[in-house]
Amino acid sequence: MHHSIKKNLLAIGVTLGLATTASAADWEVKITNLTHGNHFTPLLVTAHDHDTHLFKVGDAASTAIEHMAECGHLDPLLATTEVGAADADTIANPAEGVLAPGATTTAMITTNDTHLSVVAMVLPTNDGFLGLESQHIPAEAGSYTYWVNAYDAGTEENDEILAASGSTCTYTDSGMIPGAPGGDAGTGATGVSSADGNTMIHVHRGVLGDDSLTDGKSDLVNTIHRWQNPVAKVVVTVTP
Amino acid sequence: MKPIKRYYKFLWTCMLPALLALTGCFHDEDDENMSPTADAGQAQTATELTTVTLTGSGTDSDGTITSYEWMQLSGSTVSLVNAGMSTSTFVVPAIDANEDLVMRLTVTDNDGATATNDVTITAENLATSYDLTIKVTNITNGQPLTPAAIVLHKSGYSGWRIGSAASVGLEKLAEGGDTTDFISDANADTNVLTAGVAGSAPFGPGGSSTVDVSIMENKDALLSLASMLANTNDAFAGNSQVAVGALSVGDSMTVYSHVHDAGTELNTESTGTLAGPADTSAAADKAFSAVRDDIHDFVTLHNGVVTADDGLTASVLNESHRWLNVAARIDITRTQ
Repeated sequence: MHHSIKKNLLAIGVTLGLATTASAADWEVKITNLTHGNHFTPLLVTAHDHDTHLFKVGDAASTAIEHMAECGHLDPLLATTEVGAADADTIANPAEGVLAPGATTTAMITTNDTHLSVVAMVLPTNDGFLGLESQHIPAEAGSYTYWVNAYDAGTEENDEILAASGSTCTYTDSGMIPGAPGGDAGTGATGVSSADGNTMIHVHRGVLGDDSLTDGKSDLVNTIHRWQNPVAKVVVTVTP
Repeated sequence: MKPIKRYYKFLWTCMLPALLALTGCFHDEDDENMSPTADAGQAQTATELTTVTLTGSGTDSDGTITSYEWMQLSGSTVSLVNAGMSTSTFVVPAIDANEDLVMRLTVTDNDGATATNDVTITAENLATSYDLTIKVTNITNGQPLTPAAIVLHKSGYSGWRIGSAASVGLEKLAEGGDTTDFISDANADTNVLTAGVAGSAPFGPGGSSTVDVSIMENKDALLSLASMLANTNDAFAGNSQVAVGALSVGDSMTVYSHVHDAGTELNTESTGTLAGPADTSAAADKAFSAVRDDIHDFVTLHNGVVTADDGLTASVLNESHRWLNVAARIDITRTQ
């Protein structure tokens, strides 16, 4: 409804010969998981103005970002004033579940705004997330490609220990990896690291992993769960 | 009356007026309108966005000037005020370089004759101060960044080239964080606009350093930047030839610094070779050694540190010192 009301208002403006400065554009946002062995939790795709930042690399993560980066939860972000509830310009979970390596999903957005943010947790990690940070999207028709890095929220130590299957993730928990959707992680790890060296949002240094599924420092597998940047590709096709 | 007297009488009464009339005809020829002359005034020099007054005049030896008309012959288009009067004004438009504006004055006299005169106004580009605040934020997990060498320059300068040997200045920066030679090399380059250093001491993960630099406005200004990752043999976060000259006052832009390998020291990660705190040895040359013993003597992107946690047994580093791709966020804001 939101969409068609804007269209109708625009049509009235044109009929009356009024000059309209802002008009709604449609953005087709295609997101591809470029990694070899990592999954993305449900994505949040949201349009906003240039003053809005869901996160800023180099700054501390908000609690809502911490929820998203440690557990993949989007509800806290959808409760913020920066994002607001899911609507025409905020799409939550376009893939209807995790986005597997090599998979692509599409979010259709209708907006008067100028900037786009995309976030989702990278699994299996402790607090790694992919983030397109307040990217300006041109108003002109066309397709625009953005390459997205994986960041560390700086809120949880990267122990690389997988939580027990079926356990509930909370951002205040003991800090385990909530899941490995590929079903290819191990158990019985003693833990990799001590506290984060950088408690601000920073570029993720990658996971270490090891070559044992039953013991060793990490429950992750060093030949599967490492990545290089970029981890995601975002292609925005603008239809003014 | 004698006939001869009649003849004279005819001459005086008829021929003289005719002669006078004839002379009158010749006199009318001499009275044809004289062309006016126009004077568009002295050549002038004016800086952009200032008002120029064109003071014209016209003279007519046998009448009056009935109209003046100013028009522009060349240069960036201006808007002439009172173009139909002897004195006209215009505002020099914003220009990127000095240029000549040629104006023409046309005067017309009361008989419709015209004359023109041109005047050249040299419009000067006003050199505007272009001040930037450059903030370098450490976005690694475990690598202190050394004070960042910041160079603003025109094309023609480069602090390094991928595939070419590092300068000694870059070697000292990448092995030990010493920016002295790198900065003095830059200042000696005619293509460098200004150089500075962000921070006076290394700044850790999550920390940042800021430097203010000022140049004259230059749309082609480029930024190059280098800062060592202290817990490495010879890695530096670097940006080369970033276009920064088109910001409006108050605008910001953000770029990220990829990690480079200077190619001047073998990446052993072993004790006595790293400048940063992960290497606790007291080796005198751990910050800088003039020996070049890497697998090749040229700059590349860095392939990352391996660390003892990943099986490099001689490494004094652990997994926390690793990074992927980029190590610094650079926020550039124009303040003036």
